Amino acid sequence: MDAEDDQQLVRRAKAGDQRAFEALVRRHRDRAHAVALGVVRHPEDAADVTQEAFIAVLRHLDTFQASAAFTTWLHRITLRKAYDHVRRRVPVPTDPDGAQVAALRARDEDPQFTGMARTALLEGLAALDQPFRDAVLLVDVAGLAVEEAAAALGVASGTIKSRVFRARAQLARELGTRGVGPSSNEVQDG
Amino acid sequence: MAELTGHPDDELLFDFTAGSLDSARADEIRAHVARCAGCAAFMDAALIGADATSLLVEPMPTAAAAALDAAVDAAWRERAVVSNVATAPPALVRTPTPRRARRFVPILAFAALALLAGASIYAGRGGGDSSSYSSSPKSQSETSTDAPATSERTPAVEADSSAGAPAMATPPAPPIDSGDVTGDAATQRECIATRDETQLFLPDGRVAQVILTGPLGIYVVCG
Repeated sequence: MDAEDDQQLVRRAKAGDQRAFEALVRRHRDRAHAVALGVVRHPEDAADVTQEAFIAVLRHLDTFQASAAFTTWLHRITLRKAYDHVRRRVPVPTDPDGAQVAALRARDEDPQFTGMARTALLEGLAALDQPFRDAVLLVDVAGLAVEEAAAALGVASGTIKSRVFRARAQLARELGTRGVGPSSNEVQDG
Repeated sequence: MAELTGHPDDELLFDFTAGSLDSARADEIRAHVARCAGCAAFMDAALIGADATSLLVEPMPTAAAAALDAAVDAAWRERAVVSNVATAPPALVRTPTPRRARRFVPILAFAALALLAGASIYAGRGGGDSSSYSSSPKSQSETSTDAPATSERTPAVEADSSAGAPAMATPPAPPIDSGDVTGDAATQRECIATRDETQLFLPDGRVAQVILTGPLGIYVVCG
């Protein structure tokens, strides 16, 4: 099954082969989850987003054009679902006794989410402007080619390259300010 | 290839770090970075940032993966059910009311089309040249048992022989089945008349009366 490329699996899934679709899910769920995590910042929320994305893919599978890259389509949907999730997120109410903060902190201390670098990375991603965040998530996290990311975001390939490079540098700066990676003084734009 | 002047832009630095530049251009960038601390720091930071993003990609938590599998399985089953309903044979979902309505829509549409085309009109009975078209007497008598006389329902319209209506032999009239006709084939036989047909049988056992001939063929109008 793994030897089959995405297009073959999509073709079989469109013909009614559930196993083929499940293979696509297994193949791409980790990166989809990581892309979602880069936006929503919490593993549980990212899992919800990943689920929503794959269900959306399944529901619209018949309209998917085989000439397009499946990953381009999947990660574009994942990004959209992630931002929808963020917009839907209920703001934390005032928390005089600190219970809400404690709950959120406990969730952040989930074993899957430990590590200062990872936390700092998510905070750094959150600090990026959305076009830069999307570009670096699609290229460096989802693993799309520059041209695929450009197609997913509807911009030129040169724009993707520029955004990704700049986002990487800014991420390093954000990590530095959080005590991870180079200090902010070491990083400057070229 | 233009010679590099000033600092390389972000796009060029991206290509350089990706190793996708040709060797001459890559040497130029390398030489620039070696003497420009700002560009060197910028490029190092970008490399660190690229490495850092790899931290995000980990196996999905086991419980989340299991929940995803279950959700996909449920969605697949739901999709299969919807698909089966959409592709079910028409006989399974057909109801008498829409079938009856469907019979008359194309007839009216054909009549309107032929009239707009300035078709010549030929009366099947009660007018016109009965040698070119006539209903079987046997079928008429059978038809009249439940249906009103056709001449009372359909005005006789004089045919214009110069319009070139094709002469048609009178075929033997098929038996009229005024019972519960079901199925698409039977419905089409009752609704559509073409050059190959000279008789139209209606659901209540009546026979069509007026034949319209036009550039698109011969159409039958019900009384």
